Amino acid sequence: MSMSVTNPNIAKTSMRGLTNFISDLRNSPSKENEEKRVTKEMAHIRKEFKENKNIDGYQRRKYVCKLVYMYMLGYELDFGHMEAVTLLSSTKFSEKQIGYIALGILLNEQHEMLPLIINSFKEDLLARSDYFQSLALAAICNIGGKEVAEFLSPLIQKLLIANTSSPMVKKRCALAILRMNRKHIGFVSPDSWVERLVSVLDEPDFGVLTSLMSLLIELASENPVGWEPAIPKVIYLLKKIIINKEFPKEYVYYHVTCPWLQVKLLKFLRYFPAPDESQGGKVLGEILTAIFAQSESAKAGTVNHKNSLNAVLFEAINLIIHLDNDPVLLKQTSLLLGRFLTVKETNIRYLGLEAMSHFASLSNETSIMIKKYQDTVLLSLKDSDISIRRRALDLLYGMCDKNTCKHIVAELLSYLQTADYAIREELVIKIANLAEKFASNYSWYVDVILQLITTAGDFVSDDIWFRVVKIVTNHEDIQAYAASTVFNALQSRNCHETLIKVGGYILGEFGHLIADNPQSSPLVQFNILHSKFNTCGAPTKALLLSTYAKFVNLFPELTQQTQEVFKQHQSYIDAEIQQRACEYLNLTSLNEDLMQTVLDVIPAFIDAKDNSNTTSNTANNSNMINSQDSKISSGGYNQSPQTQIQPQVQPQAQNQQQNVSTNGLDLLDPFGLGLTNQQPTQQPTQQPVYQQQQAESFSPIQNDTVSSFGQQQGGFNSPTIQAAGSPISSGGSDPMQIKILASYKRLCLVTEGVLYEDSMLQVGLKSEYQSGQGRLMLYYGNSSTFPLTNFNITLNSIAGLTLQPQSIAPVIQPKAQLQQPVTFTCTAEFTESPIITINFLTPGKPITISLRLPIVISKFFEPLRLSSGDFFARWKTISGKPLEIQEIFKSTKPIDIQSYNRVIQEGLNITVLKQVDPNPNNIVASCLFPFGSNGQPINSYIRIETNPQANMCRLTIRSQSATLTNTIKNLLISHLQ
Amino acid sequence: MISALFLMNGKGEVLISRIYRDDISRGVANAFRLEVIGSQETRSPVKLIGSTSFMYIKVGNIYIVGVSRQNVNACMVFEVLHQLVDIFKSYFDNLDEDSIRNNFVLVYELLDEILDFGYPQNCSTDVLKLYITQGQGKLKSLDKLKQDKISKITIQATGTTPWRTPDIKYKRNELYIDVVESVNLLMSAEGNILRADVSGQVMMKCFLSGMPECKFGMNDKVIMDREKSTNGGAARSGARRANGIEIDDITFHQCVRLGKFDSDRTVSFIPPDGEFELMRYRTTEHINLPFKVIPIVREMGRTRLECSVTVKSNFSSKMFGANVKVIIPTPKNTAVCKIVVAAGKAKYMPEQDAIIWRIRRFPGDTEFTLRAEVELMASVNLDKKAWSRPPISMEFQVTMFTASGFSVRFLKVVEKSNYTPIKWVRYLTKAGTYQNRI
Repeated sequence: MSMSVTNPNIAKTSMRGLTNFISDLRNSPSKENEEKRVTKEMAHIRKEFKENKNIDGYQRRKYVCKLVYMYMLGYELDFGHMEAVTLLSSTKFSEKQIGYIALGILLNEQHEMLPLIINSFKEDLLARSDYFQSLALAAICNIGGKEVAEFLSPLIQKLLIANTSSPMVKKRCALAILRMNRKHIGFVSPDSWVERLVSVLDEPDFGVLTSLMSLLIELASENPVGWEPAIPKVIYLLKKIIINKEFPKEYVYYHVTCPWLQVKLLKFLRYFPAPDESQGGKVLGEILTAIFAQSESAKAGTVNHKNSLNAVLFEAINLIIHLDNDPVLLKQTSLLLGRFLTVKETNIRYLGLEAMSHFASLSNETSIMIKKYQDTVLLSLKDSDISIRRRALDLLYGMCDKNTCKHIVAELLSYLQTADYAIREELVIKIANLAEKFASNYSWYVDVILQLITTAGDFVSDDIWFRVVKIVTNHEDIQAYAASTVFNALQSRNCHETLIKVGGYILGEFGHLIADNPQSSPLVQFNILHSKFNTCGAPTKALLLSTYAKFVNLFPELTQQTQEVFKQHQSYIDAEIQQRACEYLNLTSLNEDLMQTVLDVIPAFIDAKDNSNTTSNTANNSNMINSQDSKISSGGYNQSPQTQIQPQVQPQAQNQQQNVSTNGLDLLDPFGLGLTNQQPTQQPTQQPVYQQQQAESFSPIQNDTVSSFGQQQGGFNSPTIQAAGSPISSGGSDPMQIKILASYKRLCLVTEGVLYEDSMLQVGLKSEYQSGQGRLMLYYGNSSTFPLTNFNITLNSIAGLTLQPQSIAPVIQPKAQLQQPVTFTCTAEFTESPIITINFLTPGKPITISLRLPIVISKFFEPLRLSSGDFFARWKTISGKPLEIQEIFKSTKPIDIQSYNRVIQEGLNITVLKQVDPNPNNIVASCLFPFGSNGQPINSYIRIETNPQANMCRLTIRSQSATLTNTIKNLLISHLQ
Repeated sequence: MISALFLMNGKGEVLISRIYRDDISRGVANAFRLEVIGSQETRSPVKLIGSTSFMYIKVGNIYIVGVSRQNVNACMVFEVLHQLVDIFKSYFDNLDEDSIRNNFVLVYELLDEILDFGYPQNCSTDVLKLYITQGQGKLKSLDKLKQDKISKITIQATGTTPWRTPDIKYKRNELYIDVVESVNLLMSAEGNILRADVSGQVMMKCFLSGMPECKFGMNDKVIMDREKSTNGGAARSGARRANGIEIDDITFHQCVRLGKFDSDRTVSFIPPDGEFELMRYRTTEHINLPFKVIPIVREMGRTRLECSVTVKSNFSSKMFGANVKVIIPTPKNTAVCKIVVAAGKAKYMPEQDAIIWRIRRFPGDTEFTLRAEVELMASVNLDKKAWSRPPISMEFQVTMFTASGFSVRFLKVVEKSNYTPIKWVRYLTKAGTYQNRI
């Protein structure tokens, strides 16, 4: 025993069987051969372990080695562990070693065999032999789980502080505790044994010190409180190494004394505030000076020498920056860092830049100290290494102040044009932050941001332009400037969408400030914005619509153009845009007062939120040490997204909020029309109609339908609305509307009847049709007690239908009637009915009524009789959209085939073909429209399949003209439904 | 239609690539390597990658892969692949990577002849050897005949009997028939037959002169019944085995006239010269199992296993089984086996995780028993799965015995010169997968 313990490195008789086995496996020609060899060997070992009762240590060792080797090759191993444990309890080092190696490989923390071997660990730890203790410690580090840690840690701690332990053991003890602590945080607390642990720092062996410092750094990083007693010792150690130069020779690495220990000592000090005099603060200053001096004097040797020198130096610089109490040292540091910036070695430049950005963030003096390196740093922005560029950017960001910001921002902006994409986003955010933080005048700020958007629009987040808008809104003095700048920027042919957004917003708000200039007259502003409209995405379009609405308010002369745009977008596919278009259209055409209130200039934003930006910036700066890129870039704009989102989504909504001082606006009712009592409105009875229109304006059908309001209903006195005279979408639920719609529908089927009737006016008509020609006699009856003056009728032709009304007298006396004959010619298929607008004056009030004339295409149909065979032969010749339309609809009243037949045959002049479809629930019909747009008559074929039980109909129409098919479909559905 | 043939080694390196149609590229070999050779999961012989189907067999360490992009008859492809192996083996004795590398010119030449535009043309070794005479020494003897034969190749390969040349002459006209059957069995531990079938082969070796017309008779049930009825159930039929055997499916060599077989169930043919497989068949009813295994395997705790296996021969004592081998599986953690046998030798083979018991000569109508005590190594992980108890399998050969009861009734040879050939018949039953669960 004593032999192997004292000379563990002298090889025992080498294991020939093992070597042979390994070479066998390595030489085996194929995987299968190897497997065979392994199973054979395993069987052999099983047999040996089972049968051979007096197997000796050597053989056991050999077999365990073989098993471990097979296990490492990936073969399953489910025996042999006990043999390894047996080896563990051997007194021979060679056997114990193999036992520990095998268990270290075969077991893990959770293994169920672990409890079995804790005792072996303990025995070895208590053994007198350093080697046994070391083996046990190594195994505990590798496979010791929580249980082992709890059970053995007192012992290990005792070993670490015991005087009797050899350095080799102490070293391993420190590392074992470090490892346990890493796995189970909070394992070691200072109060229990801080003094004794610190006393180990007196240990002369540098190896022990290095391991111990690793442990101490770990513990201090968890919680530095309680570890202060170590500070004087650490400083003393540094002094011993650096000033007294007492160190063992073997710890000199490329002429630098134990760089690892130095680094660790310096690093440890960084977890504590600057040491005072009693702790050796002064000595520390000397030490740091000495480190600087050393690096000065040292001649650069090999790479390793440089690296170890710089490692210590950077750690010292970090410590100086952390201490921040010695102006001389700080000065030296700045010089040193300045030198690093120009070093060729990329890694050193990186570290230099990083340290410098920490340095810059310390105080004003420090940032002034490094001011002179600004140009060097700017050069680093063009470095080929992106991490260097990032660091340089960080540093510049940190260096910037009121005096330098203009220069730096200008530099960064010019750099932005050439910067690669990886860095652009960060760059944009930083520029925006700087520009805002140090802006002496806001016009400069606006300039900067606009330039940002122009050069790197894709990287400008919404937050940034929200800020611009907010700042412009809050600072009256720059509004005009901003408007003209934005206007000029918009002149460029391809400007970025973000610019359009900013432009849209600012011109909408402050466009009037530059409207006097003929070059930026309202119309020009509108045109320039609208020229970009089509290329924008939906959110921008929505914003532009808001802008147009604002234009209407600011420049009444633009009403026509803007309303045109709104009308175009009334049925836009995007719901948001559609809604805006409809709402703005109504808003701008109804009530001027309301419009002015709603579309007033946005008031200044509440400033409380502004601060978040700057405060977060300063917070950022103080956090600079140890802060990551992401931390820095997340500063500023990302802090207050919720408050800033408002300007984009609902500028007018916010306005509304100011007006009615209510929170929680409903998107569907952005004008707050529901809150009628708070509206400065004069016509309370008008309100329901409004609301209803709001509700109805999105119904997909009949946006084109025109009808009038119920003029004479109680106390109605709203001349503005009447005068507006624009088509207003019809509602279905108003009794007057229903009545108008019903009479229109009825008149589509018959030739004479009353079209409109209220307490003042009655409109009736008679009609006759003959091969494309029609004659209409309109009767206007005054049922009121006063004369209707300025009576005039507007009747416009529509595509495919030419109307020729005769002029009539301008006055209708009470209880009198006027007649107006109208002749018309059908030239092509048409989809809608013509609209008649009646204007007249009751005493003092103008009235406008818009009505649809019941002239529909079916009036011009001619009968088309077909046999069953003919019908299907022709039916088959047409197919596919848009010539074929199929629609399923649910009838509102019970289906009655007879009445359907009547409506189709007599009302719509479509020939119902009997005996074509044997199913009595189906209707087959055809018609002839003789005046197709290409001069040819057009045949249409119709099939209606009804399901009386479900009250459902399926309608299929085929004709040679898509327009005709569609028109017939609408007609049939409206009359059959 | 086979688009390409690849020969690859175990690592997936292409040894031979012959592309017959241009609807695939050389790169598909790589796809096959990644998807089949490289992957552990794929063990199906047909693999569809994209719209390309790969059909492969593995011989030793060589993959033989047929590739197609059409809806090809998979059986046809596999038949070609197996035929290829036979052809290669007859040209160079053992088929392995080296022999393919050394004979690559020959291989390409063969592949050119065997398939045209992906359609199989000629897989008969005898015919191929007439005009592909490259390769090793075994074909040298043909050289002197070469000049004469070459002129006849076209006539031969396109004539009505491409498998035989008319000018064959032997001094002694001899004819050998071998009936080789392999028995497949799966028996439960209780001794119930779960599955049993016999697949048989009739191999012929002909040394006959001229163009002999042969007629082969066997104890097929259909023929026997018919004969019985035509003879009116006469005394003759009673003398032989009462009824024929039911043969499930029969595959004939191309020389057999199938039309004749269909009409009156007679097997008539002009045989090729030399050895060939006349027919293949399969039966699943009334199988005579040559051996019965009675296993008793008991697990005694976690570290011991006792088994006693009795094997009983089920045929007449005049016959005997040769090369009988019983493979008795043992658990993976077997440490020591103590085996006692009444006959033969038994040994624990760790490579196969089994006790192998060999008996050279197993007389009919006797039984032998093996007793073994197996000591196991205790496993470290206690939750290890229990031993799966794989079945005991057997290998054997029994001559002059057919498990199906198949027998050759007659073989008539008619030739213009009217000679009487000497005829020999031999029967042999082998084990296929002959397994008993324990």
